[in-house]
Amino acid sequence: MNHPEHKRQRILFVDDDPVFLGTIADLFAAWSGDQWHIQQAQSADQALEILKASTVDVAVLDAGMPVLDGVQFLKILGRRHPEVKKVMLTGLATEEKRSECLSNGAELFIEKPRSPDGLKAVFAMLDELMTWKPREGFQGMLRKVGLQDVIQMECLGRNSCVLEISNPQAAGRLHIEEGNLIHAVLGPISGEKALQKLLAMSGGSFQLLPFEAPSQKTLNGPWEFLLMEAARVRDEAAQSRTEAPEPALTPARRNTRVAELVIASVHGDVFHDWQCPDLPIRLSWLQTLASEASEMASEDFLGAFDRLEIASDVGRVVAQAKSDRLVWTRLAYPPQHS
Amino acid sequence: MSDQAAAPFHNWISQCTQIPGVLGSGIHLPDGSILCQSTAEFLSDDKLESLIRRLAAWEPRLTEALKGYKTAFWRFEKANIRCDWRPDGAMAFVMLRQDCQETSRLDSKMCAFMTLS
Repeated sequence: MNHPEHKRQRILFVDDDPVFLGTIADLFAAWSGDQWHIQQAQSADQALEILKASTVDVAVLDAGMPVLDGVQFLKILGRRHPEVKKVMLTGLATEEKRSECLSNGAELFIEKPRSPDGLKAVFAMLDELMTWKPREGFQGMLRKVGLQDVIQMECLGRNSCVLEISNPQAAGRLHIEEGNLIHAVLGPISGEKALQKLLAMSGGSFQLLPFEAPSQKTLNGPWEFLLMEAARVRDEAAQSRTEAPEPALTPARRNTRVAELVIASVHGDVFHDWQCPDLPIRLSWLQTLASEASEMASEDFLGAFDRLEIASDVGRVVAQAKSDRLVWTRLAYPPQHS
Repeated sequence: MSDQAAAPFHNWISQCTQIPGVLGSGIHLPDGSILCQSTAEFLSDDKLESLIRRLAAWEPRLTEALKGYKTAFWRFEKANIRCDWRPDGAMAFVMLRQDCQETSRLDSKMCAFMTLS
């Protein structure tokens, strides 16, 4: 990952789980092309020693550390090292915890990744955080001042503008004309549904741009009603998230655990191996996949290969064959109790 | 396979192709024969058949990867392919546009495939 100023980014991960620390350090160093200088600490004490001895750009803290938990440590860091950007990682994200962390100075509040995709998303968010620089106009992270607050301010001021909103997973736009919400779009979705999804984003950034007329108007009615409805939908979704039926293919089951992880170069050099019972067989399998995927991707109607997911009742394998790496992750579901 | 025996499979394929976002659908039977139908101009039946044969040949590798597997989902930049297997070795194939939102309808069709005869 080449940052514009070619400066090595210094990042400190604080977590009491050495396996997680090791995985993150290996992986993110490789993905950043060694542009990240990654330091690790297994306790708040160790982290403070590192911060005293060296300069750190971003500190990523586990919210659930023993003795001195992440939130307490966040407060200490805020007082002693206000210049360090802080990110909270948690195994169990709740709205209450999120608010607490953000109000205590965390730039981002992220759920702990449990899959290669999750790791990629966290990497992308941290990379964005480190490279972020204000552009023209007003821009901010969605934290202390929420997106909803900005929209309210624009509407109350009867302003006209376009809000461009994005996070690593999605990007959308909201058009406000003379204080009225007139159009929202998020990927292929538009209208009220898009507005609701934009307001349900748990993190990301936004930019306030000069108004331009949208090709269509997809929102009607008072802005207060639209925002209230979006808040209601978001709250209901948060409540029912754990009860929602699981899609057959990508079950977001609770307590799913990573049972095996292998990350290697396309030539078979292993970057990371965790609990793989037979590495040569895994690598050979991944290389076969890479070759097959490459042949299939030569068909114009498919495009580049992203990943193969294989699902059973007891687990799931996600295999990626990218131009610079091969990744194998096996997830195990907890036993089902009837 | 006689026309009469193949009718439920053809019917299933035809129903799949009516789901918005489905580019093609097919079945690879345990005897190696393939039934398929494309809905996209750029995807000829020959190409579709060749793709189904290629993915059906992955069966031993899927077993190696995850015992008891039922579904394989191949994700590409422009399209996704879902393959579901039955215990008798028959494989259902559905190719979807990237933006296809019909997951639940597709799940239902795959459930129906499990009991087709």
